[in-house]
This record gives sequence, structure tokens and C-alpha cells, in this order.
Amino acid sequence: MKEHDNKITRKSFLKAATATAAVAALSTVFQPTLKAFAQTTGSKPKEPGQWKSTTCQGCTSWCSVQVYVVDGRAIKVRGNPNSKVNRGNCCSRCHMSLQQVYDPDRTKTPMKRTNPKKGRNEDPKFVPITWDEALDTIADKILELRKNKETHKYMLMRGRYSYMRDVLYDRMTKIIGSPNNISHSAICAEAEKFGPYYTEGLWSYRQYDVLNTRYIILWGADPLSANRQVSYYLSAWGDVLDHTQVAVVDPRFSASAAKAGEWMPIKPGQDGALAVGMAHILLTEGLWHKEFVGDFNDGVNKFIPGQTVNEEDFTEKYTSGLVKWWNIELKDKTPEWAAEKAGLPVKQIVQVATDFGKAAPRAICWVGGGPAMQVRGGYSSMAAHALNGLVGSVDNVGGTLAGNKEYTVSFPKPDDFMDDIAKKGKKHKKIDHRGRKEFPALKKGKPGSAVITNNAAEGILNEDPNEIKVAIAYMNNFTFSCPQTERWERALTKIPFLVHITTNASEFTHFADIVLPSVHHMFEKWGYVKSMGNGHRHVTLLEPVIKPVWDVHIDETEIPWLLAEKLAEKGFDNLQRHYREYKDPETGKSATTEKEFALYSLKYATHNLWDPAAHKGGDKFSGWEEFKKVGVWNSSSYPYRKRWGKMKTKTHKFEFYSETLKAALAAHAEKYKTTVDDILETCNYQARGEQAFVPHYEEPYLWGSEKEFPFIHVDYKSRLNREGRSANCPWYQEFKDLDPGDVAWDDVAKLNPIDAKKLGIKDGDNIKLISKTGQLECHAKLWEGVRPGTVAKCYGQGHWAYGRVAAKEYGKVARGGSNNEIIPADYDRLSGSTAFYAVTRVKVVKV
Amino acid sequence: MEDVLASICQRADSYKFLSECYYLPEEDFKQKVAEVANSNQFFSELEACIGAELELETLKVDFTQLFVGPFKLLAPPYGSVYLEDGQLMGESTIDVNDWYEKEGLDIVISDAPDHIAMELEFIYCLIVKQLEATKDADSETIQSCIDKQKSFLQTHLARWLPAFVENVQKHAKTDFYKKLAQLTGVFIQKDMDTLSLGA
Repeated sequence: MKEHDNKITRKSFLKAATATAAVAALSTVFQPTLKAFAQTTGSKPKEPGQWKSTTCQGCTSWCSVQVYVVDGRAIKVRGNPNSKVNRGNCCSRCHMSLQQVYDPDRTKTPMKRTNPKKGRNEDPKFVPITWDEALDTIADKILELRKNKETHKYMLMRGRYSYMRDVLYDRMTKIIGSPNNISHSAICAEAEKFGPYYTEGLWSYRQYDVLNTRYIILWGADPLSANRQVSYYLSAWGDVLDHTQVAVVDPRFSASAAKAGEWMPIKPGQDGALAVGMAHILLTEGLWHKEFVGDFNDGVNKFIPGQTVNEEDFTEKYTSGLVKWWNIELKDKTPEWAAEKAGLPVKQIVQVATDFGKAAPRAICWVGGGPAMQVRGGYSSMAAHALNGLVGSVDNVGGTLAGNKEYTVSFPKPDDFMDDIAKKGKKHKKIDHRGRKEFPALKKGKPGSAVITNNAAEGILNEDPNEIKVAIAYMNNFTFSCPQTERWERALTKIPFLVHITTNASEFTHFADIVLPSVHHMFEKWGYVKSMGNGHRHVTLLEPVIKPVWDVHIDETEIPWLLAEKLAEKGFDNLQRHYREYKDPETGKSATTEKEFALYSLKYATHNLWDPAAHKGGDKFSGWEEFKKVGVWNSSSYPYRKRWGKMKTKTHKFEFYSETLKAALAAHAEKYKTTVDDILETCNYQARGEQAFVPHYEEPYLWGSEKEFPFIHVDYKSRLNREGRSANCPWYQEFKDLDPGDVAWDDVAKLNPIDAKKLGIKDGDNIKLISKTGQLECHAKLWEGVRPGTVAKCYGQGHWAYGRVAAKEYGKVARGGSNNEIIPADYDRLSGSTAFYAVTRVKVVKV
Repeated sequence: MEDVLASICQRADSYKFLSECYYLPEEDFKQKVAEVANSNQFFSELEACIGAELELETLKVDFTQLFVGPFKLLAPPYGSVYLEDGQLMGESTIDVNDWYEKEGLDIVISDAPDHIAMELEFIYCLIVKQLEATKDADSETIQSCIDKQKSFLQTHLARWLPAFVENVQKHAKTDFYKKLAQLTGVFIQKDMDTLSLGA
């Protein structure tokens, strides 16, 4: 409990207390003063309740929401009616935020570790310290690195973020002088962006024009539960089903599958086979969209199974390389071939592909993380997304859309504030090994540009390229969210000084030297995020709508400011001088306190949205106050087909033969003076030659032999996971059965009854899932909603820290088992993404 | 008169002392506890729990795990956790805050209003007011102060204290916090009896 400065207000009480002392003395051991209270001068009038705008980051939907606040206390939540993206809707996750903000297990004060030993079985023995002591210690550690000219041994780890992130993640790391700012992106769904980028030049998630579409194929996406803009799609889905056929490609029966016309319980990892099989059908049946793709010169379809086609016979419009794709990959990928690979009926594949094609261009392939976040998943992402190209739904009415234009600006450049130490430090190679021969990480066509989050653990452990001495991390929990978690436990044990900025003490915090309590993003923070849906983009503000219970600070702005102040006090003022550049656009003033900085930096970044004089498009406001109240800026509506012929690919067209990927791979090969084939071999891909440049089928790469580990593990996300941050909410546990097949207050692995019978396993049995790299214990649930031969288990449970509800007993007994204990650390190396799906074989053992 | 005032003072002191014990122990904490244990028979048993061999850091670690966290708060010191489904800032918390406001008290520390240290200090405040009124022989105010103490204890602290005490006794690693919790429980129970008799 931090005391405020209240010397004056205490006076009157003191007078009263001491006056009585003459008669009968109050003890002087503890002074008869007030500690928790001060006397007020008058009673405060009660304010009526008010809906205040902010943003929910319970998942990556980033809904604009409102909180009903009475007397500084959050009472209830709703979607912000001012948003054209989520249209006044929010989902169950948003409601759970109330249990997060008022969680008694939250971090309440800065703390330091008093047990110098680190490890899973070591109690850190944290004790409270003041903010001043905490910042002082951190500043000293950073300055020591600077003194020894080893600033590259500083590291910043980022989990979830708002777009204020660069203050802490980018600028601070650069000005200190390190290349090592490591984001979580590669454990999110980066491979999902790989397909759209190497076909249509879009390194981004997409929005889907569901109200205008006629057919949707969900590939390992469950938009009624997870993925993006969940509340919008939930609200729209009733209408969608009135005019749209929905097919779901997923080995388990998802929430979206429950509402769909077709469930295609594919063999895990065979998405690429199904996709190229469907492409084969669309072409042989002549169902491609002529307006977008073009046609044979004579109008006669020459896509005949097994036969090559002359490129000259086909004239493309807004696409490039269709015939090449057919000749290299598709001509032999018959429905029968695909059916055998995918483990689905030929009839179903033909039916879905044909209906999908007939709906063109109002037909969507919605490619989620499922097919993409696999070893070799980048190509599945490409193959499934390429179907959108065939049916001409890319950038089209009822199709798959990019983000609308928005007008936020970057923070001032750090270059002038980077001294020689910083410049030299930053030149070192990154700790995650991106760009090495075995990690092309081809974000936006550039080798070595994507993060390889989970591999940073190896870098730290092997001191490769160097050791990490000082690390700060925020809003992350890599010891829980990254596969093969024990590597992170060892890596964090190895870091001599680790700071964790967090709302709840997690499996990551367990290894920290200093814990800094963070604000809850939705109720206590200034920030903004961008998100798209319903043909719009919104920029929605995170606002401090309540009075925080404890003395917490904003992770992305206040804490770096306070640290900058501390560093300046000790003689290094570059960071503080840099932060002073983020001036309030209204007054031109620099911040003088952390609170001002949090506000000014936000006003700076969003200036073009709220200042009528700087208006560039979309919603217009009279000024900051109005923007703050409304809470969200909406773009204008979507300009369909604007990108046709102007895509950011090498050919400016939708590439079925990706010249863009060819160039990127060639650049990476050139770096190592080798061939693209050698790169592909090194990176565990099967394609050789021209096949590498077209969407194609790659066999899934699974850890463990089928003989020893007969089941394939199916990992997926809960509709209640606030990205893994909600396990300490009682509602999370109470309503866990909202996930189809799951059980309240439990963690279950779902087995098909056919398999369970063979193993002699009954509902509720204690079982172990054992993989090549780890094991977990949970309960068995017999459920027809999983494909035989697979075991489906939802990510989110298995915490051994995070709070009284999340863990059965802190440090000792987890509630169930975390999937990441059994998933091996492996990658889709072309995108840098971590593999979560179709990578783990397991055996199931009754305990 | 002296006796009456002395007994009121002792109650006030006891509440103040207990309240102080639910803050993170500082440098002179052990010494202060020893002084109180020596001067107040009721707390005498605490002295044996803070022997010279007990490091302040041990007390701090125990205090932190019991009342601050992180990870799992072993003995949440907040009324609403016990009165309302394990969460903070519930209706009961707001009611506590209303009590403070009505007495003209503003919270100046960063924590929930129904933290045990605050509730104990609040009763201390009410007793000091009672002391003033007794000195002035203002019987109406005396009665109102007593009624408020009774009512606050009955509506809040005394309702959740037994569960809190149980948590501390179950999870505390030091004898000091085990004994402190036990004495807090006994003290409040006895004080409730005293208030009822006095009414």
C-alpha cells in the first residue's frame, strides 16, 4: 500500500487526538495519526453512473467498448455503439475483463526477488519495494551495460501490445543500444500472412465481406470463438447463414462447425492437399472467375487432369502464373488424390469446391492459423488463399478484403538520440537467429525480417550470438505460451536480471528479479489499436476509465518515461530528451510527468484523427475531447477492387506463380551463396525447383513415429481465452463448457469414442498425453467431435502460476496441463512462425 | 472518568496497533511490537514470536505471500473476497467506502477500501471520536460512536474476519502472523461482546 502525500489533511485529526492525550494518553508506540485516511473538508456529491469508451484487448478483435463506471468503479461493459467495425457488440471475453481488473491476485506493487536462486521449484520470495527503488535498480543495470559497451546484451520481450508499443519496444531499445527487441508475433499467426503476401502482396490479416458473400470455407478458423473481429462476426452470422453456405475445414468440431452446413474433419496437416485438390476442381470444372483471372483465348477449357497447358493459350487479367501453377502443381492433384491425403470423401470435396466456385466471386476462403501455423505451413496458407484468387473474391464484393486506410502517425525517430554506444550495440545480430540460413523469416519479401519468438530461448541458452544480461518483458508469458516451455524456464533462469511488467504474476514472473505492476489495458491505460471488419477500419482508444485500486503504471508509456527520468538523473538523458519530442499537438508542450507523457504521446500518434485542421479522411471530430468521449474513429467504407492490378507483388497482380516469393528466396540464397533448393532442404521443405514458387502441397512434418505415438494432437483456442490471460477468472472456469466438448472447472483431452474404447478409456479418466518432447496430465472426454486418430485439447489451462483460480497450487500443482508442454519447438521457417498444429504426435496413457 | 477514558484509549490503541500490523513491516517493526506486547497484556504472546533470530526479511516475505501476493494471495486481506465471490471492489466494498465518506475520511493509500488495515483504522477513528465525546460528556455522540462501531463490525469486519484468520493460520510460515491473526480474531470477538454490553 503506497501512501499519498497527505500531511495537511491529517492535521485536524492530529489535533483532536493530542488534545485528549492530557486526559488519558493514547499510546505513542504507533503515533496517533491517520495512516490510511485523511479528513476531508466536505462531503463529495455522488456522480451518476456513466458509460465511458475504451477498448477490449481480450483477443485480437480489439473491439471498441464502453464501461459503465459508478464512483470510479467499473460495473458493466458493452460494445461501443460508435464503432462501425464491431457495431456496438462485444463478446463474452469482454465481460470477463471485470474479473481481471478486480482480481485480488493482481500485482499490486513493485516487488523484488529475495531468493537469488531461480528455477521452477524455487520460491522467488518477492517482497514489495517502492517504484523508486525498482526504477533505480533497473536504471543501474542498464547503465552498467552502457558503461561496459555491451548494450546488445539488453533485451526487450513483448507480448500483447497497443500501438503505443514503440515507445518501449522500439525507441527505448534502440536508444539504450540493443538489436534485441523480440515480439510475440511469431507465436501468433504470422504464417497466416504468408499466403496473402506471396500471392497478393498483403502482409496482414484480412477482413471478410460476410454480409455480401454466398460461400465461406473456414480453414482452421473458428470466427464465432476466436480469430479476429469475433463480436462482429457473431452478430452478423445469423444474417450470413440466411444467404451463405458455410463449410468448415477442421479436425475438430468447432463452434463455427456447429453452425455450418459442412464439417470437413480433415486429417491434421493436409490442408494443402485439400486446397490444391479444390483448385484442380475449380479449373477443370471451369469455375474460375473470368473477370479477375481471364480465360483461354479460344474460350475452351484446356485444364484437363494430367495434361499440361500452353501458357500462350491463356490470357490473364489481374492474375499472374495460372497456367504455370497448373502445370507445376495442379494437373495431377485430382479430387481422388486429395481425398486420400485429406481423409475426406471425394464427394464432399467435389461438392464443396463446386459450390464454392459457383458462388464466385462472392466466395471466401477464410484462412486461419490452423493450416498456416504448421511446419511448412506457409505453403498451405498460400494454397488455401490462392483459391480466393481463382474465384476473384480478392478485394471484391463478398470477398476477402485488406484494411482500410487510416491516418495515425509514428513516433519521432530515435536516430538523433542514439549515441555511438547505442549505434554500435544495435549493429549486433539478434538473439532469435532470424535471417540465418535455416531461418529465412521472409516477412514482406525481405529475408531475416520476421521475428522467431520461440527461438530466442535457444539464443539465450546458448549465448548465441551473445549472452543476455538484462531483460525487460511486458504483457507476455513465454514460459506458458511458447511450445516446449521448459526451454524458456531454463533460458529465464539464465538471465541474471529480468524485469517483468505484468498484471498477474505468471509462469514468466516466477523467474523475474523485479516485478512491476501494470495497469489493466481496458480500464486503466492510455493507448490505441487499429482493427478492421464490416468493410471498415477503426482506431479505438484505450482509456483510463476507472481509478486503479493499486499504485500501478502504464506499461508502454509511463514506465519507460519513469525509467528515462531515472536514467537522466544518473547522467544518461538521451531517452528523456527523445521522449520530450512527443509534444502535445494542442499546446506544443513537452511532457513533464509520466501521466502527461502517456496522454501527449497518444494525442501525438492520433493527431490526424481528432484535429479537424489535420483531418485526412474518415470520421471527423471537433477536437481531442470529442474523440476521447466517442472513443473510436471509423474509416470510410471499403473501396472494392481498387487493388486489382495494383497489388504489392512483383507483377502487381495476384500471383499464382509467385515472382515475389521467388525473389525473396533468391535473395536469401544469395546471402549464403547457395541455391534456393539448398535453402529449402535446410529449412525442411519438400519443394524443389519451380514448385517452391507456387502454392503447393507439402506433407505435414510431425514429431514422433506413428508407431510409438499413434495420435495427432489438435491444439486450438478457447472462446474464453483472453489470449491465455483469463484462467484466473472464475467465470472462465465456470463457463469452460462453452467450448464444444469441454467441461467446466476442468481440462480435458477429447478422444473419439472409437479410439477411447480401444484404449479402455472412459469419460473423466486421468490420462497422460505423451509426446516426443514432453507430457501433460488431464482428464479424458469421449466426444464424437474429434476425428478418430486425433486428440483435441484446448489451449489455456495448465497454469502452475497466475493466481488462485488458474493454478491448483502455485508452483506445484497445475490445473490440467498446458498444450505447450507437449508441443515441440519447431517452425515454419519461411515465415518464422512457431508450429502449433499438425506437429505433435502423442500417445495416450491412462494414469 | 479516568478509568473510562483509559479503557477507551486502550481500545483505540489496540485497533491502531492491529491496523499497523497489516502493513508491510518496516525497520523498527519488531521493536514496536515488543513495546506493545510489553505494555498490553492482551498482545503479550506476540513477543515470543519476534525473537532476535527472526529476520525482518522473513517477516516481509511471509507478509507478502499472505497479504500482497503475487501468484496466489494466501490470505486476501479484503472484505469483498469473503463476502462476495472472491472478487474485489464489490458492492460491500462500496458500502465500506460510504462509511468512510460519511465520517469525513478520504482514503490516501492505494488499496481497496475494505483492506483489513483500513477497516481497523476506521474503527480506531470512531473510537477517537468517542474519546473526544466522552471528554466533553456528549452522551449522544458517545452513543452514536458506539452504535457505529457495532454496526460497522457487524456489517463488515466481523463477518469476514473468521475466514481471514483461518487463512492466515493455515498459510502463515511465521509464528508471528499466525499469532497475530489469532489475536485479531479473539480481540474483535471480545470487543464485539464489550460493545454489546456497553449498549
